Amino acid sequence: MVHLKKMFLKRKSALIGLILVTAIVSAALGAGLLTRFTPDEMNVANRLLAPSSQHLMGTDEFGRDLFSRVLYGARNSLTVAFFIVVAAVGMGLIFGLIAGYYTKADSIIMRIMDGLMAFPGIVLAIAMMGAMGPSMANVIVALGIVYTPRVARVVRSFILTVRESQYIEAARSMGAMDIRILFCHILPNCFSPIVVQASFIFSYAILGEAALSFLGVGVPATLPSWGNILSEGRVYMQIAPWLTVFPGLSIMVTVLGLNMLGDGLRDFLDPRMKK
Amino acid sequence: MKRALSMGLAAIMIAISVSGCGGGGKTTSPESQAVTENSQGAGESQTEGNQAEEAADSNMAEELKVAVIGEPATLDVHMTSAFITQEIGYHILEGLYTIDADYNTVPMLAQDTTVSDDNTHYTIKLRQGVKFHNGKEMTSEDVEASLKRWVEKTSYGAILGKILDKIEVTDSYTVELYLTEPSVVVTTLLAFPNQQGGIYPKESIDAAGEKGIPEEYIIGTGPYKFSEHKPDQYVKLEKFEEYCAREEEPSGHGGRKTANFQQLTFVPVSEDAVRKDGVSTGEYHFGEQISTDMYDLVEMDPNSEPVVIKPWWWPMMVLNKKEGVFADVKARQALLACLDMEECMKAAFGNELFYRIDCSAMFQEQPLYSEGGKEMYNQHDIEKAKALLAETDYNGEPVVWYTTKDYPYMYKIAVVASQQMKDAGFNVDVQVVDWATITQVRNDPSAYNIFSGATTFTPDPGVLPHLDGTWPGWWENEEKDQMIVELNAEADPEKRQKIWDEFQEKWMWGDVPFIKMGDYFLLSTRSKNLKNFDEGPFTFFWNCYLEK
Repeated sequence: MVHLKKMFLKRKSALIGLILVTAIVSAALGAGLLTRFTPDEMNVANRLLAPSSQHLMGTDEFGRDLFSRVLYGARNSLTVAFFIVVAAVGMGLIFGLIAGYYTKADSIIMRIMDGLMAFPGIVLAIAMMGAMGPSMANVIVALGIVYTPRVARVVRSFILTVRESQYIEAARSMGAMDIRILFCHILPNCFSPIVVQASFIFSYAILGEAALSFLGVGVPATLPSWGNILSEGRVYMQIAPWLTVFPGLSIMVTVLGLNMLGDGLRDFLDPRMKK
Repeated sequence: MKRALSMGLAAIMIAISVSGCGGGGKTTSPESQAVTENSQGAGESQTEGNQAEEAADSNMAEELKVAVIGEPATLDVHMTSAFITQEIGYHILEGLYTIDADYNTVPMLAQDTTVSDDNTHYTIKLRQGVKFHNGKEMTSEDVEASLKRWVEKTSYGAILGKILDKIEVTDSYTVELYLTEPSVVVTTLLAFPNQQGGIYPKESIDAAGEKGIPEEYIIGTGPYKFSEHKPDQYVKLEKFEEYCAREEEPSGHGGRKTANFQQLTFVPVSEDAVRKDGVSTGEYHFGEQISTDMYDLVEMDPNSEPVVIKPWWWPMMVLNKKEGVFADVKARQALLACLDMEECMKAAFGNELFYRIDCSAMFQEQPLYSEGGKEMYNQHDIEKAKALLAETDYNGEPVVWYTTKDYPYMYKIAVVASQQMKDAGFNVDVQVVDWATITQVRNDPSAYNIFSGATTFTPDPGVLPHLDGTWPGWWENEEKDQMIVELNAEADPEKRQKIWDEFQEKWMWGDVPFIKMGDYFLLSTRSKNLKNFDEGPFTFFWNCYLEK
């Protein structure tokens, strides 16, 4: 913990990243306290109002408060992104462990992973969403599958380097089962690269969800999410630019914060960078 | 000598082609007389028309690019009422009749019509020498095959089909329609551009499969012929060099049609901002249906001009009366009670120039305008809605509403109205899909409770397609059907008004088969150098031209 504190003090960009991410997450969680309006509260008479003290980010074409929608949209976007990370890391970890530890499974699993990575991620996700239909669960499944190979490759390559280590040999010679070696001896050592990957996948997931929702195949159009707000606002870009500027800024700030935080964590957790 | 001989031959050929194309003889139908009177009465407009044609000749352009709102699911006009298909179809196909600028029925492929005194027997003489795009001459055999299919496939056709006893071919240029009961709206049905009774050659009808007529058989007699369709990229039409135009002055869809472009290209552009900007930058010459919020921007733009069409259509919610919660009339009345039309229309159209709160199925500008059922429209009474809903078996199951962003107003109305429905106790599940999906889904009674729709400018309430029990939503009710029969058989305008007033109050607003939200007017945008463009509600691109 002391090391982590030192790292944040030493690497100002990581500290800024942490502050940005914390601020966004806090705002999303405390949306109900920060705004007087619910995201679906319509007042058509107040449509397309510019930002003011009453409506900090203005109003949309239905007269809904944009500040409220961006905050509640953050909840949906961050929730979706979080579960995409859980899905991608979960599946990537299992496939990576098996591929890295069992040579025979390696060629099969990694060819499948290569196959998935051969498609541009967003194209693959659009294809899957087209087949499954727009819903939050489907976004998680689609983007979870798209980002799984990234984690699997990192985990596999790490295991390839440690599986021949002496402490693994020692465990094996003492009669430890594969499952014990994998989960008790190898997995804890993969923690650092997984955490770093997870932080980057989080930022990719936010962008991915926004892109899918923007294209109309992500989170259902009736729910607020940053991608949906952007999508609805782009029609009014010339007459009500705030409808695209604020959700766009929110995405940018969150992704920037996550990337800065991820860079800092990578530097902190990678022993070679410490030197 | 040679020169004199060749000139003589040329003169003979011109004479043959003119007489063949014109069909020979003067038209005696009252409709065409009306057109002739209109055009003769308006001497200035005739001069203007001639000037426009001269200008068009000197400004002949290779291509006109039109940004349309989406991809046509089919190009077969008998298969769908989808606006995109119909609009492309106007240029390829022609019907026996069409409508002029004042919404009168006028002949197109028909030359002359005789109606029996009891309005049950129509004898239609066809124009002679009219060629299809495949070079074949149109005859009564083609008309018979096309009309039979139109009656079978389209909702307007089905209205005629209900009273049609038989179609008979007397000779190559005469078709006779025998009805089981009197009707005064037969030519109106055949004339109306949406779900048009387009005449295909018999071979096209024979080639039709379950999914409609294959694209290589999309052949008509119109001024443009089908050339190429690349899904999601474009539909291209080519000028039909052998087109046989009518002789009357152009008026709406009626009269003389002149193709001033070698090629018409319809490009699906789903975003209205892109359609608007595309016209502004010169990428397209016409961008249809843009957000009314863009009116000021278009007006300020140096390269484009707003096109406002008033009246245009009215948006509606169509309720599934065959299955689900809205099979119960109380639930339908509950839904109607909770709606605030002003909110919905304001959100959908923004600028008050483009919408009007009005309960009438016929626009204020038309005959048979009615205020019947006015008190049931625009109630916004949530408590009444809750009370009515409590009388039904509804237990909070999802009310599935299919809507689309292809027509942004449909989506916006769905967003606002679904919120009002939630306030009244409905559990609404709004599904946003493309329009082509809606035109498929709406035929499956188990798939939805509501779908977003809109009613085009309709010349007579007796031909409103969604009053028919076969139309999606399935309004099956013999009593109201009988009332429509009475309306369509009644020639006296005053009696017709009385019947329609009663129908609108008792059935349209009392039984709530669908819910009209209000009138709306269309904003499209066109290039400033697109001249002689007709701003009627059924957009077409013959007779207009690009000024260089």
